[in-house]
Amino acid sequence: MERIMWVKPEMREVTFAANAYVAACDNLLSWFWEFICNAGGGNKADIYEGTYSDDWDSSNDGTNLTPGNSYFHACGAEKHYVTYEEGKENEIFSTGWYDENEGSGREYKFDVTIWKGEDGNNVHATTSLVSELRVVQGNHSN
Amino acid sequence: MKKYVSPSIHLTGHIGPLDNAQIAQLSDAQLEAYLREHGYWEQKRLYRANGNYVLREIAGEHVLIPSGDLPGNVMITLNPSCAFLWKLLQEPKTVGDLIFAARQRFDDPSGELEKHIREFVEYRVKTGHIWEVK
Repeated sequence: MERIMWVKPEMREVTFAANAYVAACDNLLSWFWEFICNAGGGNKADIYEGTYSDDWDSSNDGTNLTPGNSYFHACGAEKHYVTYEEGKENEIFSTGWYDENEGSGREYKFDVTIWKGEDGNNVHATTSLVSELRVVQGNHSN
Repeated sequence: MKKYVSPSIHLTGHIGPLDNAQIAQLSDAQLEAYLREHGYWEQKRLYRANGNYVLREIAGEHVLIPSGDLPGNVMITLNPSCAFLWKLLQEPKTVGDLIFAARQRFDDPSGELEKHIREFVEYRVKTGHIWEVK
């Protein structure tokens, strides 16, 4: 049997609304995430991964994912993601900020959620990541 | 007549500073005192998983789902190390059993496996996810 790397044992409790009953043998709770690349409505911009620091030193502003002559513009790409584990979405979505390059003021910058595409080599950004908790019906009958 | 129980062998870690040859030289009274001094009785304790949780594997994730009298609005996700321990704990095990089995299955370059398992069992007994077998 292939050996695997030891990690600290962890149990993560997920509490959900009391009226969303999950039985041991039928229903399961899932988080549905819907991402649509819409940040900026199509204007050219840079996308930074990290937090905008609002101070003079731009090295504190995260990583520019669209350096040099490359730019981001919203393309409408969609990503739908389902997970049974709360927080798992952080493995495919990250947080960052949008900089429209039309001025240096804070009014041209806003927070976004970033998705790097199926291959992890693209830049998509949204201002409206949607999540929904749903009970998924199992295929057991009681 | 004594009540019959299934034969079982459990592991403890090495006890105290003496090596096995030195331990073998001790009298029964000395051995009992030595083992008591170095925590043998604690290492002999058996634990098992709380039987009111059902372990299911869903899309590669291990999830504990409460049953019985437990509140139904909580699910617990386990990482791979925890799922491994949980499966072992379907039968009574000492901490030494868990450490031995985990070392057969996992690479432990950080050397923290034993510490993690001891902390895990101690904490999860307090939270009620693991029972001490009396």
